[in-house]
Amino acid sequence: MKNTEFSLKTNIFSVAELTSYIKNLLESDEKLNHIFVRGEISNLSESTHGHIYFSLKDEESQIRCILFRKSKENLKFKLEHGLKIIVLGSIEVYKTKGEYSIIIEEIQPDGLGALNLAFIQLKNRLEKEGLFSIEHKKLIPKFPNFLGIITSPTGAALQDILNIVKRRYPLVKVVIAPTIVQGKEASKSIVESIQLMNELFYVDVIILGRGGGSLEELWCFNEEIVARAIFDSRIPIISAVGHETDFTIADFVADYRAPTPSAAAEKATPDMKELFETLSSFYIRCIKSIHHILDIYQSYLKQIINRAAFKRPLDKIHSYYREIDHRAYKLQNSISRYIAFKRKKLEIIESKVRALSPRSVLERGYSIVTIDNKIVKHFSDVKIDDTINVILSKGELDAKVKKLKED
Amino acid sequence: MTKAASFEENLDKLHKIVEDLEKGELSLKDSLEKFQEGVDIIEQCHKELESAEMKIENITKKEGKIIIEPSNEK
Repeated sequence: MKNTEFSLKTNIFSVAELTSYIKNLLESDEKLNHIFVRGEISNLSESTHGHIYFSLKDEESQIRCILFRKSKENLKFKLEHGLKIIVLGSIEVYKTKGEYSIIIEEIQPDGLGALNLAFIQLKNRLEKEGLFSIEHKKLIPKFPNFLGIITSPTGAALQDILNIVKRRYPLVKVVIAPTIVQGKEASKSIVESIQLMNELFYVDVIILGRGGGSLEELWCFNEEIVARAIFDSRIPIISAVGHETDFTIADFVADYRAPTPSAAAEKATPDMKELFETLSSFYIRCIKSIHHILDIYQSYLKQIINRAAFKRPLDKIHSYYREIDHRAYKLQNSISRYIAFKRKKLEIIESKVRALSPRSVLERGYSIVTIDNKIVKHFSDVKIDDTINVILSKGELDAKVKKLKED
Repeated sequence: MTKAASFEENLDKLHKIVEDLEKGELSLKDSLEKFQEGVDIIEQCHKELESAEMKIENITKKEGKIIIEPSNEK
């Protein structure tokens, strides 16, 4: 049977002929041109020339895929083993090896958008590298002297920031680096502005931001060069990209992530109102404590005054009074004793005197003779017929001298 | 004279003064001096804040040279 077929020999192809035929057949088939194919990446490899080879597979089959370097340039995200993707491409046959594969024009992640995937991939990579880690976060100064703003000079974000900073802390000086924050030039412009700010030695803190937008519009904040420039900045950077819910890579690398440009302005500056409050609380504390101190000294003074010496100055005098009284009493006492003593002595003397008194002599029977109130002691004191007075113990006599006799 | 203390430095100073006063370990004379100093600084800070006018500059780089000029922003 087989022999008969071989014997016909009419249509024998060379390998090249067949391969060319197949190549033609496949490559001219409209259905195999510009087709979308869904699958998972495996056997991923990159050639030294920068072309990428991998197999796209599902549960049952696989097909070789090639992404030439030229097409790779449009790829936002990184190809990884196991990644589910949708490719756009055409079947091509590589005659030398007799292999067919998909030559890829574009790749989209399956499920997520390309930008989303790129975002996740870069985020994971930089995170692993440590660009987001807390130990690299620089402290945002509380009282900046110079605030750098990196944003579009025409955007609403700038006005928002300036308004708030002016209201909160007009002491700050602001340096604006006009920057492109959207489109192809944006990432380069942002990097330059960050570096420019870092050349100014006096800038204390930078706000990097713009208003909200689509993922595409905010994309420059998700680019690696921007992330690295933020990381390398000597000056702390507050990121303020888009609205509250928009997170960018820049937000993760920045030293502080503010949900909006306005919030960034608030983070970057102290609030004058609060400062006034702080000042008045300092004032109150100053007053309170000086009063307290004065009170302490006053009560100290009071204590001293309260000591007896000051509080009852008459006490001493009173005690002197009493002392005097006491002494006066003692004096009086001793005087009366002295008087009594003297009196007694006097009595004795008196009785002695009394004993000597003429009356007691008279009582003993003697009489006193006087003449003209003079005591008669000598017979010659009187003459005959003189009237003399005789004082008796009881009563007196007037008598006439009859006779004079010398003893 | 050295340059005027920044607002932040003044706040720090105030903080220290208030703490010293509150500790109450100073002599009466020193207390009164500190008190006066504190009140003076508070007044100065007030004045500074009230009279401050934000200064805004633009910074660009042209041919490798940094150019700083006053901004039109208000």
